[in-house]
Amino acid sequence: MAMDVIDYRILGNDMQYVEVELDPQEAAVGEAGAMMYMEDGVEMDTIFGDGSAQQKGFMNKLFGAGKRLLTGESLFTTIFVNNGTGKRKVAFAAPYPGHIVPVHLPDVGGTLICQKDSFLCAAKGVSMGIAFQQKLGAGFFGGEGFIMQKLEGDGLAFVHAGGTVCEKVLAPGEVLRLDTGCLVAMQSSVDYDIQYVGKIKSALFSGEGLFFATLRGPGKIWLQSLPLSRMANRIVAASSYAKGGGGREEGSLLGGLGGLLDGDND
Amino acid sequence: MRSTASLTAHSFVGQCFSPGQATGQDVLVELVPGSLVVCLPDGQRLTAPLSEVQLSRGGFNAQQWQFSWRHDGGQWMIALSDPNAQQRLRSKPPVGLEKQLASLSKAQHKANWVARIGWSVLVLVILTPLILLGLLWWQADRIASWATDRITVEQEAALGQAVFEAQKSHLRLIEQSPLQAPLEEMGQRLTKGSAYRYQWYLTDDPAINAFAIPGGIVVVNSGLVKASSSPEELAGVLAHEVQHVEQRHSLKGMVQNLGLAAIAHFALGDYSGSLPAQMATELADLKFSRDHERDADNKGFDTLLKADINPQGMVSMFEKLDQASGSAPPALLSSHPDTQERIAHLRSRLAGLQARKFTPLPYPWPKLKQSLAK
Repeated sequence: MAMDVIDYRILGNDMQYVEVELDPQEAAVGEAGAMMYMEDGVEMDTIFGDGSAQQKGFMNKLFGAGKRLLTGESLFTTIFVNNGTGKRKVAFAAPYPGHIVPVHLPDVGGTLICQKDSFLCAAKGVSMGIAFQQKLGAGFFGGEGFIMQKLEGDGLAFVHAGGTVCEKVLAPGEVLRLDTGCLVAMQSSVDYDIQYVGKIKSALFSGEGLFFATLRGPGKIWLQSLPLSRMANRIVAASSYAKGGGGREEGSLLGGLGGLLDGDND
Repeated sequence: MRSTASLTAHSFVGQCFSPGQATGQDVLVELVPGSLVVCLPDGQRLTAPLSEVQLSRGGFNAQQWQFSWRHDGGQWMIALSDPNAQQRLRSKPPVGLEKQLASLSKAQHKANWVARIGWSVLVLVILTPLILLGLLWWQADRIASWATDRITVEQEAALGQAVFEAQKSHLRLIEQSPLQAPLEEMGQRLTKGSAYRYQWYLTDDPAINAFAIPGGIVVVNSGLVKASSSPEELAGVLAHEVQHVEQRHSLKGMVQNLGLAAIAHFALGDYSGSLPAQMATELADLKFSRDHERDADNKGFDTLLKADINPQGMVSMFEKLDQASGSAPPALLSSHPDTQERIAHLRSRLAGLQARKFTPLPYPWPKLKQSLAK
C-alpha cells in the first residue's frame, strides 16, 4: 500500500510542533485537536476510524474506532488533504512540554508500539490499532497499562513524549531497565516486561516503586525523561489548591528562607 | 505486521538484526537441513549451522520467534513475526530444529496457560464481591436468620435503642398524652412473659401506621388511633406489631437489608453513614415478607386471645384499612401485602372461635381520641 510521503519540520525547543508539508492531493491524519494551523488550500475532513485503507466496510470502521477509544484517542480522526495546486503546510502541536519524535515506520519493521495517547499525526494510510498487553505483571506494574497503541504502515508517524526523548538501539538480548512510565515507543521485536526491584528496602524507600520495566532487544526504543503524569503530580503538589496545604506562596511567613528549608521536595 | 509471501514451508521473511543493522531489515530466510540461510538485501548469503542457532520467543507479548546466533563475534538475530509462517514451521519442523521447536511450542503453550490462569484469577477477584452480592441476595433470608440467631436480646435492645435515637428527630413524639396509659396497659397485656422490655410511643403523624423497632420499641401514629373505632382495634394492630418484635421479623429484615447494603457498598465502594443512621433509613422502607406477615397475624391473634382481648377488633381494623386503601393506601398497608387474603384467613379463625365472651377494654375511646385532635 502506497503511503503518502510527507516532508516535515519540527520546530521549537521544549514545546514543539511539527510542520508537515503536503504535496497536492497528499494527506495527513492528525489526532483530534492537535492541529495548530493549516495553510490555504488544505481541507480538513473528519472521518470515522483512522483513515487507513485496511478499514473497509462499516463494521470494520466501527471496530477500528472502538479500538481508538480504548487507546484514549477520540472516535474520529481528522484528515488534512491538500486540495490546492502547490505545496501546502499544516502544523500539529504537542499538547504538553516534551519532544516530537518522527518515526519512519519502515525503518522499524513497519510496526511501532507506543504509549497510548502519544500519537500526534501521521501520513495518511498509517493505521492506528491497539497492542494489548497480555502479561498481567507488565500491564499492572509496567507503567503503560494494558492498552498500548500500535502504529502500522509504510509512512511517517509522529509521536510526542514528555521531557527529553532518549533514543536507543538495543542489540539482540541486550536488556535495559527503566523506570515505569518512561517508555514512549518501541519496535515490536522488543520484549517488554517488568522486573522486581530486588530488595525490600529499595522497593520501599528508593522511590522507584516495586518494579522496573525491562526492555530486551533487539530493536529501537524511545524513552521520555519526564512522563506527563509525573509532572502533573508535581504541579498539583505545588499548587496552593493541593490537599494538606502542600502549596505555599513565595511570600509566605518564612519567605525565601522557607523555600530553602523545605528544599522544594515532595 | 507485514505480510510475507508464501514461499516454501521452510522459508520466510523475517527481520534481521545484526551488528551493522541494529534496527532490523527484512530478509529472506530459508531453513535447509542443518542450517539457516539468510539472504541479505545486498545479495550476500549468510549461513548459520542450526546447532548454534537458538530459538526463543520474544518481542511484544512474546509473539515473535527469534533465531539468534553468534557470527564473527557479533550477535545476530532473525525475528519472525508472521503467525502463518510460524504455523508452517510448527507443522513441518525443519531438520535439525525439531527439538527446539518442540520446546518452544511447549513454552508457548505453558505461557498461554499461565496467562489464562492469571486473567481468570483477576476476573474472579474483580467479580468476587458481585458474586458474593448475588449469593447473599439469593440466600438473604437464610443468612439473615443465621445472623439474627447470634444476636442476644440485650444486644437487640441496645441496637433498637440506637436506631430509635437516630430516628427520634424525625418523629414528632407526643408526650404525656392521656392515651399513653391505656397504650401501655394494652401493651403489657399483649407482651406478658416476653423477654423484651417494651416501650410504647405515640407520634403526631396522620399516616395510618405503627411500627416496631427490634428490642421492643413500638411507635403508634396518631393517625392510626384516629382511624380505630375501639381500643380493641388498636390492640389488634399492637398485637401484630408486637409479634414482629417477638418473632424478630424486623431484626431479620434489618439485618438482611443492612447486610445487603453493606455488601453492596463493599462491592461498589464508598461505605458512608453510621450504622444506626443507616438502619433508621432501612426501617423506613422495611418490607416484611408475606410469611412474616401471616406469622405475625396468627401469633398476634393468639396473643389477643391469651390477653382476653376481643380479636374481632383486629379483623375489623384490617378491613377498615383495606377499604381505606381504595383511594390512597395507608402506609401500614403499603408495606403489608395481600391484605384481602390475610383478612379472609383471620375471619375464618374468628368464625372458628366458640362463642367466647371477652371483657371489653375499659377505655373511654371517643374521649381519648378527642385528646389527639388538637
